[in-house]
This record gives sequence, structure tokens and C-alpha cells, in this order.
Amino acid sequence: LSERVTALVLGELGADESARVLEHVETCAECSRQLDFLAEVTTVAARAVPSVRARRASLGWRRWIAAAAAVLLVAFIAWRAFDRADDWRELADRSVPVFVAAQLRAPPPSLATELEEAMHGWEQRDFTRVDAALTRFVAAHAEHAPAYFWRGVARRELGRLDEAESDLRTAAAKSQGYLREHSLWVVANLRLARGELDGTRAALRELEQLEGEFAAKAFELDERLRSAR
Amino acid sequence: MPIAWESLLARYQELARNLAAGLLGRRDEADDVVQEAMLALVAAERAQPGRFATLEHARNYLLKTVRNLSLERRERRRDPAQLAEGDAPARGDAGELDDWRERVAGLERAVEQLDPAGRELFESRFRARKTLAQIASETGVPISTLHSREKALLERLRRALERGGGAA
Repeated sequence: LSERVTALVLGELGADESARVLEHVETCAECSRQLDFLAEVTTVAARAVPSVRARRASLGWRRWIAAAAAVLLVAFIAWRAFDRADDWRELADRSVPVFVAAQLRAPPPSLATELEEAMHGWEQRDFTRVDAALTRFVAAHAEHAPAYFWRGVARRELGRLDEAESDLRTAAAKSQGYLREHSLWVVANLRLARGELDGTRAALRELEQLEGEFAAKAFELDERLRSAR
Repeated sequence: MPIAWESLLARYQELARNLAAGLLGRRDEADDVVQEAMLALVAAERAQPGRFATLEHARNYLLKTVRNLSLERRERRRDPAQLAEGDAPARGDAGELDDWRERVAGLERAVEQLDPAGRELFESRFRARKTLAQIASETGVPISTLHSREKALLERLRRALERGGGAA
């Protein structure tokens, strides 16, 4: 009944079943304790967002002004850089994706733990270690698209750009949806950083045609590059 | 024994809100139902002082009332009744409420220390209130696996709570 109590707390039970569980809770000490515990869990969950906001707010207005000034400065520098036609490569998105929740996002589940182990060192930017671990991983699981994606990003960070692009293209070819688009986005920006304008725009147009979550960003960047020529 | 109103509300408001929202099929009326149920509890206690020997008795009455009011409201979809300010007396048991707050703070610490996968499951399930079926379709993880993970997650939190809110 523990699962039923959880379902009750989350408002997932219908009229009859909620009545049954509530009746049961009145006479079962264990389920009564479970209900109280889950009440605490739901309280914490409801507070999760405000507490994050509170932490952000606690940064104080001075830090926000400093942050805003920094953003403006970066924007100005980017604008100045973009203004010079030969520096449009500065527009490339070089951010390193954050690796989270491999267990929930890397089906099949049997590989999830193995992939997570291979990714140890990612947060510490130990890309050499991750590259070696993922190379062993893809040797055993050649069809696992996420592994190619992460190894591609790791290799980009290591400056092995041809191998990085090859991995990212493989990830895009072996996947659908978000992972495919994300892989293409990284490919486009990798090419942009290398100064390959035509190649970049080809990858961006590929992304636009998928009409997914990256389509708008791809269109925007493509437009800026078009006007830069 | 008088009801510790403040404790009752602090402890069970979110749960009652979830229960109401689930039965109503919408969340915007859930607060009204919880307020109505609190008023019903106030009236019941006034009519029969000492009727609720423990906080658990009051909790059971509150949740059953929330359920019944939600079903009634779902049938009628009438205008929400408002709770007049000051109707719910705040004569809470301060010591008990402090203990509860301490437990919740400990639980918050335990949640913050969950690994990313555990944190994501917690957020999806208890904050976004996604069903396991929804999470399964979004992540490709079988429901049976999610059931096991949810059970393990709650067990981790419970143990952390017993240790005083340390690492989950």
C-alpha cells in the first residue's frame, strides 16, 4: 500500500481509491507514518523553487548591477568583434554541456550506470580521462549515440577538432530528437569556431529543417552570418 | 486536546492541495477546497471540543473533508467560497511546530544532496507532479524501474532524515 499512499499524496487517485486509502491510513500506523513523511516531502518539493529564488535574491542588488554591467561589456565586445567581418567566428557557442542524470536519460537502463562511470571527471573538466573512458565504452557499445556526443564534446575541448566533428556527426546520425539536434548544434558551432562559414551554415540549415528546439537559434545565427558576408 | 492549527496547516497543506487538485482535475481551485476543509474542521472541533485527540485524527478528518469537498465541487463547479481572514485560530503548538520545521529543514538538506538522477526524479515526481508513466515516456526508463527508483529515493530521504538531514 505504500505506493498507493504515495499516489494519494500526489493527487493521483480517483474518488473511490482515495477513500479506501484514507480509511486504511486511519487504522494502519505504518501507512500513517508514511503519509506524514510524504507530507514533509511534498512540502519540501513545493518550497524548492522559492528557495532557489531566495538564494538568487540573496545575491543582492550590487551583484546584480555588477553582473548586468559584465553582460553589457561582453555584449559590447561581441558587437565590436562582430563588426569586423573577419571575426564572426567569435559568435560560436563554445559552452560545455552539463552532464546530468545519466540514469534517467540514457536508455537502455542497463547501460546508464556504465555511461555515468565513464563520465566521471566531466565536472572537473578532465576531458582526457573522459575521452579514454568513452572510447572503451563505445568499443563495447558501438550504437550508443550519447557516448559519441559526449566524446565529441570532450575531443573538441582537447583541441582534436576533426575527431570531435566525426563523433558529433555519428551521434546525430544515430539519434533522434533533442540529442540529434544538440549534436548538430555543436557541429555548427565547431565549424564556426574554425572559420568554416559555409559548413556552419549548412549545419544550421539542417537544424532549421528539423524544426525542433534548436531551429530558432539556428535560424537566428544563420541570419547573422548571412548579413556578415 | 485542542488542535495545533498552525502545525496542522504547515504539515498537511501541500498534501491536501495535491489531493484536491488531483480530484478536481485542476489546481486553481485546490486552495479554496483546502480552506473550506479547514473551516469544516474548525466547526467540527467547536461543536465537539476534544473530538480530535491527536493531530493524526485532525489530519484524517481534514483529508477526508478535502476529498469530499473536491468531489462535490467537481460536480457543481460552483464559485469558490473564501475563507474570511482570522477564521482559523492560530493556537498552534509551538514546540511541535519547531520540531516539524527542523525535520523539513533536514529533509531539504537531504534533497539538496541527492545525486543528479535522484534530484531529477524528485523534481519530476514531487514538484512537477509527473506520473511515473509520464516520466517513463519522456526518459525511456521502464515504469517498473522508476517504481524501484522512487522507492529507493524515498528510503534514502527517510534514512537521511533519521540521521538528521545529512547526505541522502
